[in-house]
Amino acid sequence: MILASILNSYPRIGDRPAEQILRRALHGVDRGELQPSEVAGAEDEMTRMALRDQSEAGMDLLTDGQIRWHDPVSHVARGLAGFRIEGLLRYFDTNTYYRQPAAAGPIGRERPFLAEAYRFASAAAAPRPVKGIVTGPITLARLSRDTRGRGMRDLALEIASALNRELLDLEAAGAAIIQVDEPVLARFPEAADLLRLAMRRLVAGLTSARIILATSFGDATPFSGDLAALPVAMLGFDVVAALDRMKTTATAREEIAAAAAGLGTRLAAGLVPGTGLLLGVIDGRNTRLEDPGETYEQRVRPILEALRASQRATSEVHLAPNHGLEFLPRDTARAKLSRLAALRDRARQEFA
Amino acid sequence: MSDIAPLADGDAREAPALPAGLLLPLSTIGSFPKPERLKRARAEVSRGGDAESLHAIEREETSACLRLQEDLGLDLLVDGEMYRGDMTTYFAENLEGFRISGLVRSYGNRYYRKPVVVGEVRWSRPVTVEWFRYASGQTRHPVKAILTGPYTLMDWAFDEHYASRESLALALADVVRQECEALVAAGARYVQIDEPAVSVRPDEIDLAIRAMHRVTDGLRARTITHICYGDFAAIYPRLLDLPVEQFTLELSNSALGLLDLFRTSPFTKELGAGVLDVHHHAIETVEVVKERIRAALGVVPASRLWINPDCGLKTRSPEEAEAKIRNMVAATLEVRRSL
Repeated sequence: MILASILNSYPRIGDRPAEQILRRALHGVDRGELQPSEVAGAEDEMTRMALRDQSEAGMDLLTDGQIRWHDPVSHVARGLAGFRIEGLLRYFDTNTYYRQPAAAGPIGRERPFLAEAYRFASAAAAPRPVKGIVTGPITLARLSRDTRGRGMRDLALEIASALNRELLDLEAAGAAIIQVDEPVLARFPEAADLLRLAMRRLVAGLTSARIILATSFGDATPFSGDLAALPVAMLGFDVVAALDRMKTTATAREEIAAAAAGLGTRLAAGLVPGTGLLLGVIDGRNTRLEDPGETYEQRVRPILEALRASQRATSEVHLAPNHGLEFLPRDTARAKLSRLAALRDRARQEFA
Repeated sequence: MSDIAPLADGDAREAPALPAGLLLPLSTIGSFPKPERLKRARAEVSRGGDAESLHAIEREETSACLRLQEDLGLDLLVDGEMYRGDMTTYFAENLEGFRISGLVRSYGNRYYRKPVVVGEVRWSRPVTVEWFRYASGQTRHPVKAILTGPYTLMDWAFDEHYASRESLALALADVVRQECEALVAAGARYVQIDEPAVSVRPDEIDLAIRAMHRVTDGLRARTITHICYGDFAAIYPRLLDLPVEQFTLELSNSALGLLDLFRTSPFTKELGAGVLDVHHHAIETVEVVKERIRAALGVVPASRLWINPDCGLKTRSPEEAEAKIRNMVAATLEVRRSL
């Protein structure tokens, strides 16, 4: 099965006035001219627009675009007990920021904070499915400040236990696929051992939801084998970053395709049979629009061929951008979606 | 300003310097809040309105901003950036090789039009010089020229043209150098080259340093850089090898955590200590600012300490910015008297 899907976020603004309702609502509240409840209405509308863009581009699996999220870190930390939210920090190498959570007490979860938004998106997207998304415990622990002095391991495991309740609620809200985003993994591969422990806590008790563990912000494929035994249905990798790293000296198309084939072979060798792959093959950080034919030949086809050639059958492949699309202007994000759909169509013709 | 010819030698005019021996000089990072009428005029121009009337308002508000800084008691003034939108887009709009994208989010509810590199980047005429001249003509105080640095211009643009981040950063360094030279020829004694992006990729700090060498080596001006909201621990003390004399840094946002870092290895340059959090509405009291100044004096001597807000003040309302600066000045004067 080959699907097309965005990774997580989608632009919450566009160049047309109708695409700027959320900005206007937030400004209005900031100036005391609007009630905070009007922000929720604008968030609903921008979420519908994000779903509509994905749907019209032919995405098979949608996200709510994380329109309601202040940032990928503090949005989740605000939903948990035990954190206070502090100053601004740059989010990886982006020109965007997150507010840093400080772990100040026992981490818990008192009430659901993602499930209602999931229900809204799911109803608005029907009949297309929506994946639930949560930022993972390793990323939250690593990007937070630990004022408790009990260390990152302790914090990550406490977060995993608290988030487990949220995953159970997302499953109860109908999420058949839940994606756990761990963007720090590519930079801190030493956290893979801790991730194994945390993931067990995170998914305990789930009965039907399938889990995608998604990496981004760098190449996590060198330690894909370390992730193989995780209790997840799919693993997600930043293929653009992986190939950039491998082909620093290669410019010929054949050499790039050969690098992609090597990557596919390596991924296949490390996979537990039946594990699916989310492949970030479209660059979500640059406005340069990929040529679908070239991208297919250089990034998609060689990997899918290598996977088919291996004895370890991959049950499912999601073609996706390597990052959330909120770093791009909306028109470019739309254009990237149409290229993603074209890649999916060609891949289905050849490999389905 | 769009119709500026390159400077002739005869245009050079030496701007005033700060008094010798002044301790804890007071300055700001560059941007001031844009008054509502300026925002409205900018919005009208973006819808096809009259650019000349916007330009007149920008000049009036620049003058008003300089008078405000004088009235508040700042020592080294800035032009307030009334004519700039975003710190990278403004330069991209005035250099060759760029186009400007649709809106993307910066943080919170702030958005900007991000530059896209679509060809060779080139400097064909001065970008900020006429504003520097205008601002300097409005005051007897020295005015700090503010530019965005090559590494940040590279990192905060989409690149559809260059083969590598390095080649784009170094090409931009040559562009920024030309602008610096034009500013110095116009009399600038203090040039701040902002590099807020240098902390986000620790593996590229060497590239940022190489690029800054191209900008500042042999430049006849006091050189300053501003960096904020990054993972300083990952690049300190290597950061100090950026070839500038002063670093204006955000201390208050991180609850003075940076000072702990500077205790791990001596801070060997001048420190422009950020004593106002520009992302909070709350006005710091004089006492709070004094505590922050005294804390900064714990890591650098008074002879190397400057006082400024964390970052540009454009995020605040005009009233908040004025109240914050007023307390910053009062606190600094009190601490000065105690030295």
